[in-house]
Amino acid sequence: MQARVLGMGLWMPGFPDPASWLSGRPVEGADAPNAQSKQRRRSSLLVNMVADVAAQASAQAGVPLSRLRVVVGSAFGELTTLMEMLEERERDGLLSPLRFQNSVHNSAAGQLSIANKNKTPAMSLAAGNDTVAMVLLEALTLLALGGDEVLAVVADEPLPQSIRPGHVTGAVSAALVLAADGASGDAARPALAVLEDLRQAQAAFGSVERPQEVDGPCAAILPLIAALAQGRSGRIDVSPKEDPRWTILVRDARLVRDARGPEGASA
Amino acid sequence: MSAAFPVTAYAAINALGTTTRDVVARLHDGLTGLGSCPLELPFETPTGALPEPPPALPPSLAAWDSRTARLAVAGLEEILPALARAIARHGADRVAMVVGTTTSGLGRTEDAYHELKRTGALPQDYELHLQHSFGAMMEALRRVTGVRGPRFAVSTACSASAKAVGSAQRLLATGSADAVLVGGVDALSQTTLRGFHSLQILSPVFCRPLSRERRGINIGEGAAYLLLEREGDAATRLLGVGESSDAHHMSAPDPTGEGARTAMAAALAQAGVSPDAVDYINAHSPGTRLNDLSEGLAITALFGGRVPVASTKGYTGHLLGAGGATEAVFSIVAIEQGWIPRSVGAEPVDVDLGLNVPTARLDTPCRNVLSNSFAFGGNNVALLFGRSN
Repeated sequence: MQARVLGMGLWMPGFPDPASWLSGRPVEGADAPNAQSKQRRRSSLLVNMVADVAAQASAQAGVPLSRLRVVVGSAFGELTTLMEMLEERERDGLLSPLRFQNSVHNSAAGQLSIANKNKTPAMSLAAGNDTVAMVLLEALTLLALGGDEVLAVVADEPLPQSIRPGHVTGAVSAALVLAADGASGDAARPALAVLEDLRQAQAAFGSVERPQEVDGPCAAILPLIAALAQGRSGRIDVSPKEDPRWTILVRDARLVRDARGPEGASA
Repeated sequence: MSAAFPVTAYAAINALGTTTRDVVARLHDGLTGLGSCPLELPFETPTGALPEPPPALPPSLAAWDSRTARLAVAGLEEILPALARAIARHGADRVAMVVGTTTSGLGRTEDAYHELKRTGALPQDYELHLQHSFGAMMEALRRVTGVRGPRFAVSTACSASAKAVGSAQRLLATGSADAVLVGGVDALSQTTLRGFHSLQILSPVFCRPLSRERRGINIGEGAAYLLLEREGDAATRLLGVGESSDAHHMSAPDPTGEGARTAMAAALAQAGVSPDAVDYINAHSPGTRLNDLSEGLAITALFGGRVPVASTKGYTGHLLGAGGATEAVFSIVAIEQGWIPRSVGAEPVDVDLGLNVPTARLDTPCRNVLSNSFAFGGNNVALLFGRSN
């Protein structure tokens, strides 16, 4: 399975896009995701992070959010909303209906669909340290079986200190717009790279970069974002810490196109 | 994609029983599993609790313990031999696992937070990343099953395990796996029950899906699994999966039923099966008027009023993330055993829906059965199962 990367997005506290993160210099005032003001007030950090990185990736790809199939991955889901509900229960035992309906793991996927009048299927999944890898797998299988581009998003809120004391995990979110090889899209915008051969491997690879700034399962996408932004090829580690880990091969899109012989696409 | 995948094994536990045989027997006899709620709540609502609490996990899995994890492991028992054969046949790396859930270890976090507020300290054995995260339940399942292929939890609220079947189908169709253990698990929890109460859709009495006397939903708990393989002998096959989004509202269905209709039509189209060839529709129908109106419109637009339509939520309660897989098992049983359950609680039927709702069991051969699951976020899934030729 293979996919062209048409666009990407990233948001972490202080880093409102991939370029700012790679520069290593935090942007002053970038302390909240860039979501529409009406939505931002009413929505959780997770929902706003997903909306922000989705918009970045969609804009770069030239594919509107109204037609992108969506796969959202989050290891922990709507944690802040959950903590608010737990506190409500302690206080008077009753929950806010709005808070409850927005506490589901697919709140971000659902709100993205509603905000963009997008009636295509929306997936929401979790896989611990494999969350990034499984989002890529789900997106690759969707593309392999036909249809238009897929938006692959990963995001996690900081873990609440009250129930996870002593572990500081920052917010992280990133998105990729992926298209099947040869699929339509904005022809004027060349693919950033081609992703292929997602698989488990025992050993770490030479090109693995460990993100130092943040911990947590979804930070595993950062080495891939860095490779895409810097135009580097090679096998990238997309799941942290444990062996066997999931890895994916990043290839230069021009070389992949050149490599195509009369038999069609390369492996 | 036209590949149909054999269902080589299945299992379900819920309020109807702690073995698949007991569950199916009570469904056949039209007996509800609903009863009084075992959780302490500031309001009245029946629930579909397991007849007896799921057994504790073995000590080696204690770190991942939660009621959902216990249900997940208890529900596996009957399907483990078939899974072991699949692992032996294909290799553990070629077997995947996709499980729908909404709660995962939520119950443990509820208890831990309650304890924190009461005593100022978290329970000694509470670890958020072990018990609470959705991946944690998958880790317990990995350790029990030995599955080493792709593994993830799907959490699209009440369609989660139907959505998981869609992912499983794609893993098989793309050759990413040779077998997939796909299922759904959810346990009763304070947050879920209080949350649905806050939305004012919990019924204070046994739920009555598709009845004009419906008063809302009951929540249940359970676990269900299917083993899907690329090849193999099985009486039933997964023929098609259709998915859509309403893009309408987080917790209310699109009143036109468009999204539900799109999902059902997509499942039929993928399978190349015409609406006339569907013998039974297992409705999502949890017991709210809004859902029944929307789903009723979607069904009549596509199928007319001929095909029998029943809801099994009156037996088990709404199983949330376990619902899609559980009702997939019920659909497979209808095909393999030739009967459609009575839609318990539906009498007197809401005739305005224009649906053919059986209030007594129909003993009739079923070749193709469609099962609907709809969810928060406007997330719609329809699964089509058919008899193997």
